[in-house]
Amino acid sequence: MTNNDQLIINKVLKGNTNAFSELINTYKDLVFSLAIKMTKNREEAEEISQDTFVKAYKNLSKFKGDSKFSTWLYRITYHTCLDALKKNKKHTNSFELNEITLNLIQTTDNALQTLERKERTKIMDKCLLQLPEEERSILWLFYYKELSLKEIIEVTSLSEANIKVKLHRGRKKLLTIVKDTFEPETIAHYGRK
Amino acid sequence: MGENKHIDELDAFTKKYVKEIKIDKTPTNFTSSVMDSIIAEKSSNALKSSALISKKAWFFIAASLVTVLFISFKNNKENAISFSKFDFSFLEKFQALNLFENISISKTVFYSVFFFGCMLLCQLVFLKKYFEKQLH
Repeated sequence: MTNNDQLIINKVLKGNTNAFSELINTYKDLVFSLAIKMTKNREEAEEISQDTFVKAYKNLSKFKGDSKFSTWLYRITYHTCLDALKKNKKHTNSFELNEITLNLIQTTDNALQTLERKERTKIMDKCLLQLPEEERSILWLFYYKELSLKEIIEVTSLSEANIKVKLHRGRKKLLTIVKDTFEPETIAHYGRK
Repeated sequence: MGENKHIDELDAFTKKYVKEIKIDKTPTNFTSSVMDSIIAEKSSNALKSSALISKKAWFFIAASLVTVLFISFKNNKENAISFSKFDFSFLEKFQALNLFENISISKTVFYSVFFFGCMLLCQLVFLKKYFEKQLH
């Protein structure tokens, strides 16, 4: 957490409610992107992000600064998303995990490299959204937000072993999904290279 | 062992492509809309009044009431409550007369005053709700 965050938090706790808008501006996109990755729905993610900030405001006095403010916000976002998902009873499809070979990783990598960056990011985003929500959010927090395992434990309340398993499964599933978005001939073509 | 096969390559692959994904942006009015919710929440909390009589106080009142009623009904052989029975001798220390010595009230009056007091306390709840509605 930056000193600036702590200064703003102190201001808010002293009664300057408007100072909270500075924290919203700093963290809104981080919160929103995690919410959208978990819910796969823009409107729902917007609602959850709003709820997250209102909850954070109400409980600001409980934030002791032991962790980063962003980690604390992620924790609220993650659990608000889980509650919303439970309420809506959304279930993601289960996947059949194939064996991961070095050749599969390389051919999929080669196939992705032939695409324009814009198209590639679009495909990757689409593929990521097909993962089960917990694996998706853990993968997002670990690779995109670059949170450490310790921070992910704080956010999700899961054990380290459990997070490691979900990370590994998530990686394997993501590769399988990406591979499946390409025509088998394309993969075969890059496999021969 | 097979589970962890090519873990480094898979890790590098995921890192490379997940990092490329573009972050989703919030709508332009997001901050103001959250601030509106916070201010609305804050003002609704400011109007919320705390209970005039706490749960503990209510429990104490109820316990006192039960005790008084129990004692009263147990001693129902007596027809009147006389203040002469009470020891006001300590007042002599203040060189004053025991003003209540000759005052005696009937049990009917005693219970009437007592229940009137209880009803007044109950009315406080309704009065509180009424004023809360007025404020909103």
